[in-house]
Amino acid sequence: MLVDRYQRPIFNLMLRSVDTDDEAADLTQEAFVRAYDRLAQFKGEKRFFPWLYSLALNLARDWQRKKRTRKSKHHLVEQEFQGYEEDANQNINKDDREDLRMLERAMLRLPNQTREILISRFRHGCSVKEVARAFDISESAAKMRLKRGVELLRDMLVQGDTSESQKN
Amino acid sequence: MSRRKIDTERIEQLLAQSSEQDPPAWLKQAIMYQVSREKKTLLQRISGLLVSTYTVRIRPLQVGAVVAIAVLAFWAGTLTSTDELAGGDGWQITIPAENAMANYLVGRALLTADQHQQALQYLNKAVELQPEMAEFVHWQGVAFWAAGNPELERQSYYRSTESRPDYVPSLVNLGHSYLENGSYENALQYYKQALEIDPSQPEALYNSALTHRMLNDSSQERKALESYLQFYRTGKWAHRAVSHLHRLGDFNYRSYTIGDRRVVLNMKSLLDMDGPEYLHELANLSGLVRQTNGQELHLVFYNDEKESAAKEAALKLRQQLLQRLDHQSTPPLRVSWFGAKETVGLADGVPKKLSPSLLIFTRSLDTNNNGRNSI
Repeated sequence: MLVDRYQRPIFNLMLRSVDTDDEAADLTQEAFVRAYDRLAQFKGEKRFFPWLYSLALNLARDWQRKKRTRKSKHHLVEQEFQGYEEDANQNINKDDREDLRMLERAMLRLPNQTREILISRFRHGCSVKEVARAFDISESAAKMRLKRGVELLRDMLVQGDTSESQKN
Repeated sequence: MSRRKIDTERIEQLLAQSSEQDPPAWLKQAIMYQVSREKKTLLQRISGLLVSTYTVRIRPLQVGAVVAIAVLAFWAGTLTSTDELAGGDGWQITIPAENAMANYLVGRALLTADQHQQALQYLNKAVELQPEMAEFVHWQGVAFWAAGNPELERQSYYRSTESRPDYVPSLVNLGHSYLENGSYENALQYYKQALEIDPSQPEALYNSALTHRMLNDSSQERKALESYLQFYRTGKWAHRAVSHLHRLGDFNYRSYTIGDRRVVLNMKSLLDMDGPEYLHELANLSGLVRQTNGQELHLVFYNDEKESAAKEAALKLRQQLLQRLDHQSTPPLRVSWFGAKETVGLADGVPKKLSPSLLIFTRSLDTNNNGRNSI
């Protein structure tokens, strides 16, 4: 079932874009409702996930724009950094766990779009073409950003420069 | 980072391995509920297909201005052309330049359309024409805020409260403005003034708690959060208030998932069955229970000192809920009790043991009770 399969990546995308779990859950619901509404626009020859991911990305961007309105500004002081969860998979060896922990910290220092491009490509297995479509950029730009993003991460990890995590 | 070789290939491998947080358990249900509400009739779906290839561009500025003019046309009867407001795509509208209300409405519409500087021109004009109108001066302040000028923003709010000392929106926004610049004592003062006039003003209630938190006054923060929850039990700020109370070690309020909704209930009041708030909270709970279609409601009581007390409370609450619900709208009510403390997982990862306590949840009708003490 689509919701079973995709609620986790969409929820996590929202979690990286908003302030709280509650807001991420609200936006995830909205993403699925919007996808349902627009199913007629989904072309069957494409994969569903990149289409849904693209729609969710737009929703997250809209939310960030609206966040600048008065109402949300009232609560800016309350924004708290929410780190990524520690990997619960105990089968991953200790070195890998340490590397992953450092990588996730480094990810939080990347610009939002670069981070999302890397995640969609390497975590969710979207093709370069799908990444380009989701982020509304050319394929060559997508390739370039992927390359630069990976290099940026590598440099941060090699230099151990992952200490000051900050959201957006 | 471990001292092993880090190259781009390793980075890509790690990215593929990196973890994700589990979504909340109730999310799928909530999505399905929302989608089912969105389901359209066959005719609506066919219509959707027919028009789906066309896109209508809606410009907020244009819409806002049209709405404002429609209101003006009603309010002023006719429009005389002394000032022009031009938008994109060659359209333009005219407004009566010496009419304060017209300038105010257009200013509000422009503010909604994020045209802050233009909005300010019209709102300034409205204030110039009718300076005694607190509402006009207030919105001039909002426009100053939107344009990034907090000092002039506050000046406007001061003026609006001079002409109308009980004008709550300006008092609240003065609180916000001081909260944003870190003047917490001033923020509290204005929130307090707003709450004296309107004790249920939600932003003043919530942000008072936030301000106390910034002042490291956890006792007042707790009181303010509880005040907020006395009025508001739904929406993200209610759940957030509950999380903050839990952080402060106060578990009187709990967030529960009942049916497709996450709700806030006062657990302390539900446990204190002879207390003054019990009946009110029971009414809240019974209202929620009516909406649990196709699910059974579980009430789980914990008391590590006296299991019999947990059992007695469980049976009593069940009976009283049944009395309040008519037969047709009553879902199966299952009660359980334990002579132990309840373990509650918190956001900081440190579990908390509670007793006495009450856990409420719903589940689909086909699940069993796993051998617990239950009816």
